[in-house]
Amino acid sequence: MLLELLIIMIGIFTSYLFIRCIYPTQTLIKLFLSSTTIFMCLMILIGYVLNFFGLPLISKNTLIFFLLICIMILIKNKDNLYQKVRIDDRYNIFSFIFIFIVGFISYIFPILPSLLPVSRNVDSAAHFAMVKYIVENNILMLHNTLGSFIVPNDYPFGFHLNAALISKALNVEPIYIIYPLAVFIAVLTVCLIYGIIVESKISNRFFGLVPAFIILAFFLPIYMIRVMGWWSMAFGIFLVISFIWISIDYLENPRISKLIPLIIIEIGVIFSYTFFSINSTIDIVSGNNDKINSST
Amino acid sequence: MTKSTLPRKYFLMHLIVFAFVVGVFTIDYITVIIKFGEAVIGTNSKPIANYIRFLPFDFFGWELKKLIHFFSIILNGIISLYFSIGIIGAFNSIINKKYNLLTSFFIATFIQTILLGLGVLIFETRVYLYSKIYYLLFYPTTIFLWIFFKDISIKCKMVHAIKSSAKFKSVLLLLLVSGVLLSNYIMSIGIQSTGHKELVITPDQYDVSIWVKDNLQKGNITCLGGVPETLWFYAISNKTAISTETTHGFSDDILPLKFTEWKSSAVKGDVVIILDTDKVNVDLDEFEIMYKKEMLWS
Repeated sequence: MLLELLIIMIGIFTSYLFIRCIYPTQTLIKLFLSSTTIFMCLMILIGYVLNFFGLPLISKNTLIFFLLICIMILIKNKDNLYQKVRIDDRYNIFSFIFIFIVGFISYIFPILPSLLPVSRNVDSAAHFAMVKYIVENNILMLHNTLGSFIVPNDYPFGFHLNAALISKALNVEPIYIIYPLAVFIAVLTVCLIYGIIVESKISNRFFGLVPAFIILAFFLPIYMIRVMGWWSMAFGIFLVISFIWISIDYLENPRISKLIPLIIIEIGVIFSYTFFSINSTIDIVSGNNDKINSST
Repeated sequence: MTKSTLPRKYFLMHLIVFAFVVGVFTIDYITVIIKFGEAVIGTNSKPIANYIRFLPFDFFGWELKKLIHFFSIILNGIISLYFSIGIIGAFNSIINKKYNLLTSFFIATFIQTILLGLGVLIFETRVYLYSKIYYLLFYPTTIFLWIFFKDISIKCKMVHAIKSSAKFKSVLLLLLVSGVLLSNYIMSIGIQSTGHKELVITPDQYDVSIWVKDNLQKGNITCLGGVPETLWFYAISNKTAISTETTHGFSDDILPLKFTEWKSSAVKGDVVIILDTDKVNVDLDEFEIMYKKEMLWS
């Protein structure tokens, strides 16, 4: 339990440093959300490597990996860390918290007080089995064949590995973790949408709430996580939307180093919901071209 | 709306791309509607849900869906309109040289939709995954929908009036919050009306599930509570998932056989969930095609 908590804390701290070094101008909320995404993706990446070499997934090795990354960041690029963090204005902070609270309460309400997952679909049971397998055996369902090195042959494990880590850290049966985690991810996705709208100046801060709430109120996230139990898909969408938000920084000031977090997220998407990975690749390429076209 | 300053050649390029995208999208919709119509008039006996898996259909149970064909067509139209407005929004953005990232996200998603759509139409595969791209498409579409309405309101000179009205903002906020809560409530009603239990794994069902973790020795399984006659089971054994085929009608011959196969090769560390389908009323009908045609994941 202590080890897993340490992994989470050091992992998030590492991701925070990582994002701070590469995107020093990000605001606090974006920094927090980007760090969460990067942490989950780094966990996936480290998990894949450890599993490939037959080492236990959630162990001291994971911690060592995070510490190594942390040290590398501190040695290589520490100048940006001294810059002051930009705090979002009150209105934005309030909006993010407001979206999060309304979404979280309305989605979590049906499963109270048991916290057991709701869905009418057997997928929830299948996903639960996958998380449970990782918790019990500390290995992935992946077979280390050539194919699985490129694209997972088996069901992508991103969501399950992160759920297993939290389950171990809190010392709670994974059955009580998976649905709250799915809700957390779905609601964060809506927060990301609000972030994209505000940062792209598509709408002003108040009216930016409208599309965010349409997504919350519309059936999609509820449908995905509450009816069908498609938690891996919800996780995949979270990573793709996060990719979009972070890539705004890249497109404003394209530098190769800024691609590193995007590549990490892309790997996260491949191992979480392989199907969506093509999308974000085309997105960044065509987005960049559009920018070049516009400037000519 | 600002005047376009995009160079002509890029504008033409975007136009061709969009004509292609919108064209294929429309054809796709027509095909879906025709197939849907066939299903309604009975020339095609396959369930509608296997062709169209848009969001609202699955909120209601299969029996209810049979009664609301007309309602389903209307819903399909509304969703088509929703996405079409998204296309207009994306097109509008390109002309105005705005929101390049979102536009490209939209285009990228569309390209995938087309490829998958063609795959479905030509090779009749992965209807299941084809539908999933719409769920991803929903996010940029909603943003574009908002941009579209914003542009209209600017044209109609409504923006200033709306922005300055505190009462309007309060009502809008109230509507938004209540909308989220209401849709959750409708969802519960919709599921309950079908006779499905909302929870797959309730504390009761959790107890009737057979857990073998501490009762498993190689080739010797102790099942807590005994094996139910009608069962759904999902096992992960030696990194491989073994699942019952969730066919429309349970075959008592097939299910125990799969279960027996797994039992004979079970090793320590296997995780298995077994649900008594008499007690756990899960919706298996709509997954018939998915499980018949393809693996859980490929």
